[in-house]
Parts: sequence; structure tokens; C-alpha cells
Amino acid sequence: MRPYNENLAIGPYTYRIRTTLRNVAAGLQALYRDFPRADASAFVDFDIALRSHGILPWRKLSRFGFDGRDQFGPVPVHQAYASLEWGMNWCVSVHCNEYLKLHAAVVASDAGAIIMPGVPGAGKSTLCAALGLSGWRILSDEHALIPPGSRQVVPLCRPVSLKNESIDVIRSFSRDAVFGPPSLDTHKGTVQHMKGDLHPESHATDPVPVRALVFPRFSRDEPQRLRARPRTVSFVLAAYHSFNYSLLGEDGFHAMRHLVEAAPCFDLVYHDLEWAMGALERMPAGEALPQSAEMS
Amino acid sequence: MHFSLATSRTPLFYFDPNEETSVCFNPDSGDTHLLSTLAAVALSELGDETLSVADLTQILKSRFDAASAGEIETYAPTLMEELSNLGLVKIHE
Amino acid sequence: MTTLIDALNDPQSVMHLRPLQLSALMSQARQAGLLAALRVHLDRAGVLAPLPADVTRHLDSASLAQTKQARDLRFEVRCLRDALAPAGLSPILLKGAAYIIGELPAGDGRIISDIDLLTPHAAIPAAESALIAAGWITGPLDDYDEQYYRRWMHEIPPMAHKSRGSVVDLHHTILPPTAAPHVDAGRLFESLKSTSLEGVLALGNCDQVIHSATHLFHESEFHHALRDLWDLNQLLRDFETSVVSAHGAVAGAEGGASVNGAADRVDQGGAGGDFWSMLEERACALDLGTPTYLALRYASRLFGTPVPADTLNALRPPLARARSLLWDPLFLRGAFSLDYPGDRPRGRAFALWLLYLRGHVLRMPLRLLVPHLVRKAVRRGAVGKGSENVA
Repeated sequence: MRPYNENLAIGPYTYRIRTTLRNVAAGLQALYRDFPRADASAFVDFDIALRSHGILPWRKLSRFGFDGRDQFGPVPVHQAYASLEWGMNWCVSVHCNEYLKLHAAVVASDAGAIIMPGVPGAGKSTLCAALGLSGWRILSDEHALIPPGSRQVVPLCRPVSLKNESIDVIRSFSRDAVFGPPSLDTHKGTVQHMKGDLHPESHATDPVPVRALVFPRFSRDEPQRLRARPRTVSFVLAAYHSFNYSLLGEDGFHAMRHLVEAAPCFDLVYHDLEWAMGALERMPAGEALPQSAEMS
Repeated sequence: MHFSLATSRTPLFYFDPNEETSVCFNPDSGDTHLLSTLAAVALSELGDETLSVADLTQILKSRFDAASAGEIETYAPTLMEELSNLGLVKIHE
Repeated sequence: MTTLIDALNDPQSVMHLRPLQLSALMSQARQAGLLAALRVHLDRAGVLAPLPADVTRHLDSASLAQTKQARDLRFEVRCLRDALAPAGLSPILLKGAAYIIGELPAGDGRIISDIDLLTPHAAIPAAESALIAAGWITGPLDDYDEQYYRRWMHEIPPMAHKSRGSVVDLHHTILPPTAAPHVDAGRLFESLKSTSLEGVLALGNCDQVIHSATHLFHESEFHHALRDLWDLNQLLRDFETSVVSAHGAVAGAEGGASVNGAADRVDQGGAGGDFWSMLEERACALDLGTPTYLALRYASRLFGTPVPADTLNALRPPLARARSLLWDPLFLRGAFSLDYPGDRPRGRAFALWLLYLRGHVLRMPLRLLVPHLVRKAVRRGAVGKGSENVA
């Protein structure tokens, strides 16, 4: 297999990705094959190189290079693909502040985008993958990018990261799901990424109006429900799940206020994917919900 | 006992009239707090002025149900102490 | 010469860069910790606005992060001041924190990793207990580390605030007591100056330069070497002109040195004498002529800092010509070069390794050095195993 060396246009950013590692190159070819390529002479936002490290054949390691410098400690080569995807997230999480960035999955239908903030394990990625396989457009599995002062979200579609039993849940949910190489025994267990650009509009770059904030939680023991939740509490929770709310200071407060004022907030407790998807389809539009007021 | 704002500028608030909580942003520390709406109103009334417990109770009574007036009276000093712990209010003995 | 150094020296040159060269510039500046500082510099030269938006968003993002850090720093320093007040101490800021709170040009866009404070040796216990009382704690250290810091270093173990997480390093001098130059730390407290925060102090101008130079050229790790040299360039240019305007005829309308706090800026070296001769005198008095010489040599070499030849000559250490045969490749290829783009200068890793050893040799006698290095290597190995994930 030839070394991988592509300039990928991913949402608002251009990633240059190079690797000589075969499993990583195979994963990239499977999951990013339909991504638009940026011109080779165009500006690159993030320059990433994964190369093999170490001389012991039974302990092959992979190094993540960023800006030409090794960025994190080496990982075993069978975890290299997950480290690439995490590193690509890290580029946005750490270096970009032109948006208010919520840690959230984002999906869209014709009615607009739904932002689903959530702690790891809350089931946002599983739900995001299932929605993507059912005709919704995946805008991101990780970052909701909100231009401050807007009520819109900027798409940053990439593969969806699935963990442990979620992988089988999605495999049995749809035969169409395309997977990259599994990464075993990571700090999150087994991780495998699913091709996320399944919608005809997946690579469109225009911002999408936000329809709602939904806080998902997977629970087998509780009755399933989609219920309005207080906006003020949602504000603080979304801020807590933000990468740069506090970095943006006062601008972060205004950006979040502007967003939450416009978007009704819901709790979603579910254990059945079909039920959860139906609930999101039928979700009431914003006008029935209380108006918000602001004082400062 | 008197109270004044501890921050160099008035904090920023996000109220929703249908909700019992409000969001408050401290411009000095950059911290965001979820406060009871009663606390947020008390804070927004403080402004530059130094108020006594009696003044504050009076203001809060006029803004909230008469039914909770008794509660407000007993709760106000504790409330101010909590806001002081968050660095939002200064207590003058 | 790198794209970054060119851009810092001649901001107009970025107007002619092709997109891929701009990518390299962003990468280099990010790697050097100079992205926010570069933005300040380009903005002043009026070349920020004409740059494409996909370039400026990186500069803006770094600038937002730096602004937040400076805001937090101000808050933290106020907390430190209030925490130390009961012990009768005022915080004396060093390095980045001093540039930012002192509102020096070197503080514009400067990022810091922790807050360095200077305290008289005798006052360390009082300062430490005052900080503990206000919520700062020493992280878990094993006995070896604890001993290492207390016996051999010029600082006590770092303290972190238990709820805010900010890290403070308390120093009682500017070099470890084991290092060859014996700095009379007491002299550092002779010429303190005020900052933009009441009750918060910084070293005098010359001492700030000497401290920054000493820190840079006694280091073992050179991740921020280029940034530190840029600091020195900024400090030297700033102090040179501020002294001239106070002492020279140009002060005119200002009516002497006491207006606008200008008195703070000329409080050392006494009357007469310009900045460069004061610096020279002070560096010799503190026995720190060599690092100061190296700072002046490389700042003028890389950033064109207008250092008078007389000053360089006066500070030149013995055998400088011969020693520079080693210094130049080590510093120019090692410390002050960057890894990007991909093809790092030949021998950079080796140069950095030699510098690592040099830093240790300068700071400790060899008898102490060997056990520490062995120990450090072992511990690094142990840490490496656990930290393999990035998310």
C-alpha cells in the first residue's frame, strides 16, 4: 500500500494528513474517500503526520506529529487510527476559537440542526450514527461550532467514534455502515469509527440554523422520554460541556445566551434507538415554548 | 450589616421568567454561576449601592410573592453570605 | 533563517508569502509559542487586515486564548497579593507575568505557563505558609523531589491553588545555589519597580534583562528558547528608549522623570549613564556577564537588536572566539531553530541533547548531576508508559 498523503477539506478546515502506517492509511481510504480534496498549493490549517516509532518488531508504535513536532506520547500501532481521529479533534478543540465550541454531536434534518451535548457514555455518538444511517445529515460527532452572535452551527462532518457495545449496536442497526480499523484496549476500550458523510449535503459548508438543544442520556432502567428542560440549567450545562466557553469570557456568555434564547432545550432519556429517532422527528418546534428574557 | 457588589462591574445575567434559576457571569473572575432567581435579582439590585438587610428584604418582597415574604426575611442574610463566598458580594459589618 | 524570524523582523514580508508559506509560518509560530505575539506585531505593522481570513483566524484564536490567560493572570496576581499581605510581603513578579502585569511591550501577546515569584530567602517560610493559608497546596512529591528542590534549587516545589488550579513557583534567587556564578540575591531587591497593579512589584529593568538571559542560557530544555530570545529583544528595545526619554534632552515637555510613572523606569544605576552601560555594570556586579553576553549576541544576530559594540565587547567572556565555535552551532541549529517544516536542520536533535547536558552542568556540580540525570531518565521511562493517549 502506498503512503497516504492528502489535503482533505473538512468543514471549515484543511487538514494535511500523511502516514506510512498501513492500517491508518487503509482506515483513511475507507472513511475519507468521499471527502473533497483541497488544492495541494492551498493554505493548510493542520499538518498531521503519523509515523512508526521504535525498532522492536513486536512492539510497533505510532507517533502523532503536529506542526512537525511529536505531539503526544507514542501509542501501540493497533491504536494508531483512533489516535489519529482524536488528534484531529484535538486540533480543533485546542487551537480554534473563532467559534463557541460545544462538546456535542450535531445532526440536521430539513427542520434544522439539533445539538446534542453530552458526557462520554451518554449515547450521543450512537444516536448520531443511527440518525446518520436513517437519512439525517451528520454535522459533527464531536464539535458544535457556533459563530458568536449567531443561531447557527457550522458543519464539521467527520467519522463517528463508536465505543465497545455501541459498535455492535450500530452493526446490527444497519448493514450499510462502513467501518474503519478497530483500535483495541484504548483508555476508552475498543474504539471503531464509522463513515459519517452519508448524506448528499454532507460536505456543504454553509452554516445550518439551530432548531434545538437535546441532552441525551442512555438508560435501560428509566422510562423513555423527551421533555423540555429549563434553559438556564441547559445554558450552564452546555457551557460546562464547552471547549472554550470560559476562554471566550464575556463574548462566550453572550454567544451562549444568544443560542439558548433561540433554541428550545430538551432532556432525552432512551434505550431504544428507533424510539429516540421517532421522538426527535416529532419534536415540537420552538414556538410552543416559553419566551426568554434577558437582563444585564 | 450592609452589602455591596464585590465585582468591578455589574455581573451579566440571563433570566427566563418561567424558570426558578438564572445564569450569572462574573466579569472579574470569568466564572459563570447558576443562581436562584431570587439571588440573581438581589444581585442585580445591589448595583453600586450599599444596602442593608432591611433594604434588600424590602426590594425582594416587592419583586416576589407576598406569600414568600417571611422566607425572604430569614433567607436574605444567608443568601448574601453565599454570594460573598462566590466573590460576588462584599459584606460590610 | 526561518519564515517566523523573517516575519518578526520584517512584518511586511508576510504580504508576499504564498499560501503554503503562510501555513509554515502559522505552524512555526504555534510551535514557538509566538502565535499571539506575532498577531500583535503584524497588527502594529498594519499587515494583519490584508491577510486571508483562513490565516488570521489562527492568529485571532491564539490571541483570544492569550487574552483570557492575561485576564486570569491579573485575577490570580491580585489573589496572590492579598494572600501575601498578612505576612507583610508584596509579590515580585518574574518573566512573563512581570511583562504582562508591568504592561511592557514584551507582555503583548505573551503566553505563560505558570506564575514565577521572587521572595527573599529568609521570607520563604512566611510566604509559603501565607499561600497555604489562602488555598495553595504543594502537589504530591516524593522525598527525592522534595529534597532536590529544597536543597539544590533556586525555587521551592511548585504550588497549585486547590480550586483554581493556577500554579505558582516561589524563587528565592535567579539561579540554583549550586550553579557556578554566585549571585548575591539580596542585590535583586535593591531596584524593584512598580507594575500596573498596586502592591505588585517587578525587578528593575536591567535585572529583568539579566534574569531572562540567565534563565534562557542556563536552561536544559529549549522548547521556548526562540520566544525567550524574542522577549529579550523586546525588553532591550523598550528599555533602551525609555531610559533615553527620561534622561536625555527628548524628555523636554514631560518635565523630567517623575511624570506618568516614568520614575519607575529609571530607578536603577543612579543618575547619568545610559541603559547599556547600566546593564553592563549590573551584569558584572551580579556575576552574570556570560549569559547576558550570549543574550545580546543572539538577540542582535537573529532580531537585529541594536546592541552597541562597546557593550558586547565589555561583556565578552574569556575565550569567547573559541567558545563561539561551539555556541553558534548549538544555539543557532539547536535552541533557536524550529522543527517545521518537516526537514529539521541537520543535527538539531544532537545539538539539543548537548544543550540539555550543558544546562545541567551549568546548574549543578557534576557530583550531584549524575544521580539526578539517572533518576530523571528512570522516571521519564515510568511516566511514558502511562501516558499514551491523547483524547
